Amino acid sequence: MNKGEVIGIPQALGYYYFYPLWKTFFTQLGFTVKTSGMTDRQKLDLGIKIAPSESCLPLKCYLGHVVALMNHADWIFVPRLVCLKKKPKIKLGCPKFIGLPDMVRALLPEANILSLDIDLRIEGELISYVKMAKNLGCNSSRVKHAYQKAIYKLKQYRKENSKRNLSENNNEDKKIKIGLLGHRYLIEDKYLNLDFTKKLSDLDCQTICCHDLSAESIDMELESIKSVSWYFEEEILGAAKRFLHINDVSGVIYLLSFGCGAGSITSEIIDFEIRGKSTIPLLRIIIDEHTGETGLMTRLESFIDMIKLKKEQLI
Amino acid sequence: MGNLHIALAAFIGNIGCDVVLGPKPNKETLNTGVKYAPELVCLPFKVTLGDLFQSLKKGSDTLAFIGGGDWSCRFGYYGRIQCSILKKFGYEFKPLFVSFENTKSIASQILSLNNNSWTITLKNVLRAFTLAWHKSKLVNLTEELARRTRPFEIEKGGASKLEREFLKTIEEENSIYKLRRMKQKIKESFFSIKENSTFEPLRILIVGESYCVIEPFVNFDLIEYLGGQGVLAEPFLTTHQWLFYHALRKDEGSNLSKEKAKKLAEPFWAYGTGGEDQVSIGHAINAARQGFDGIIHLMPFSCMPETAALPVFKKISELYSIPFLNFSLDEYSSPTGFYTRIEAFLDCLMLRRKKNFNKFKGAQNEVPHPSLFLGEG
Repeated sequence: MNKGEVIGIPQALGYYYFYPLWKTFFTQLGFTVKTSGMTDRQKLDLGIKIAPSESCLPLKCYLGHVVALMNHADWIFVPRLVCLKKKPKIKLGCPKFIGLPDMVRALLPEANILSLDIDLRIEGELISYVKMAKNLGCNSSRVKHAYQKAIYKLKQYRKENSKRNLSENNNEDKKIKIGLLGHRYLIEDKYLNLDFTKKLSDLDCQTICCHDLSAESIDMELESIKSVSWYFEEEILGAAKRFLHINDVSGVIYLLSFGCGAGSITSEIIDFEIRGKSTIPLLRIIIDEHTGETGLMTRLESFIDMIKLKKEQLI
Repeated sequence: MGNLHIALAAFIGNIGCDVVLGPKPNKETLNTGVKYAPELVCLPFKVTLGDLFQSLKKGSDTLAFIGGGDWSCRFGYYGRIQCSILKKFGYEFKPLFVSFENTKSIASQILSLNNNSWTITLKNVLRAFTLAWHKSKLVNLTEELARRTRPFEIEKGGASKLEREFLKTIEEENSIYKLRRMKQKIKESFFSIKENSTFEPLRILIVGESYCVIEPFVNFDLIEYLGGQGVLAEPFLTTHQWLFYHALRKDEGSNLSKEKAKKLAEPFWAYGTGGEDQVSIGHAINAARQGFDGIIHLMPFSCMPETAALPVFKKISELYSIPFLNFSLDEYSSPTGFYTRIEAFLDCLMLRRKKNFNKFKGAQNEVPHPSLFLGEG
């Protein structure tokens, strides 16, 4: 192992779910971690150039991040997230997560990829990490220690994050509360979603994202509905149930990327199975690389106006 | 899906149910499906939804849905969503979800159809299964012979006509004894078609998503069209293989078994993602090694597994220098554009062959194993 080797983590897709874990893990083992930074026009263009034209926007963006990292890191960390949860039911990543390293290898043969295969159906997560670290030349006892610390960090980060986001929102004295559904890699990437939360807050709204809710409350909601076997969609369904049936938000927005296969199914499941008799309005917005700011703004304004009208009539 | 209905209708009709056969997918099916399906969902969903609407109009009271369970492809959720959509439009029917988890309840339902007697049920199911098996095999044989004779025939159209006739007789025949004897007759009739024996056709492998490869309405009768153009086209999957692999995990009559195909694909595509992607890649590699002239890849627009695998196909085409043409099909695809692209592709392949680019003979030795291209993992 060469100490101080730089491992690059593209700031897209899985980054928004597991970054604290990965960062702590690699720094504990003595590597330097470098992220590719926020998405910008240049990175997105790089991605769009090489990606298959039908793939979803976040994937195109991811590939752009990988290209941007290529000359600045010794390794680029591209994990393969196959099965992320085994109990009570198997939860899988969507096909793009399962094929990610292969895809990057095929598109960018010159990139030096560090791949991690997480498939809980075959082996535990720790074993996968040990195997990956072996390629880097680390011994397993140190890896175990690093992994435990990293897992702890991830849990702590998630707790703090949701607490912070919720308290921030509560302090603000805004009239309308909007529940925001969607993948973290779309909601948190301000460039991809054209700074959606900012737009909402300019319209005098405060937002709760689906990942601000605590994991326990989402699990509780999931017990009462039939879920899907996609890991990243579970959170959305749980949050949808909560938003639509506990009257603390006045509207729900579901942010989707064009070409997201899982999204087309989850949005129908929300419509047919979860929504039920709820009267809370639900807006579905599909985003791709051609989405213009004006059109988005118009839709948002009319949605908010409608909510305001509804509130006045009720009062 | 293709000629799947022949075997399935035989099976279901013989375990004590009445079968309502809707029309084959047509323009109206597609339009109905597109009208009621979610906009972003893939093409097979829309066509099958249209099928369901039409069969309900014809008077079905039970709809069987395949799938459910742990899928990372959208196919696993077809039944669930389609069921909700049909109910929303006021249709009344009994949904039956066919999957391995539901075996018990399905078995009890079949039992109740046969007066709750085990012996009658067992007898009927066995008979139904044998009948379906024989029919499916004969359909497979007919399709294969038609596929193989079409490019060589001197008078075009004979093989297709024979194929249609035989499929009809197979569908109507209900005696296992007669079906068994039919095999010889099918072979003889196809072999008696006059062939141009010196003709060397282009060989093309068709890979991709199973529905698009198998259903002729969706792929604009690609196999027949290619045959008419004097091209020997082989799909990587036939209805017979599809049915018996998914029902019994049995590899049927394929020159490359699923496991072998997956092994071949592993260096490029380590995990199957829920569709037929890994098997397709394996078959594509195998085709290159066997000296095929080209690969045509069919997928529905925004298909999750195939879109993800697309870069890998392009890589394989580059490494093995085998031409590759990708189509993503949706409700807006038109046969004219489709055929034009294929014609251009065929011209390119002919040119390649004329310039001795082809690897028709003895290609096996020239193309190395995939593991040589990539170091490790």
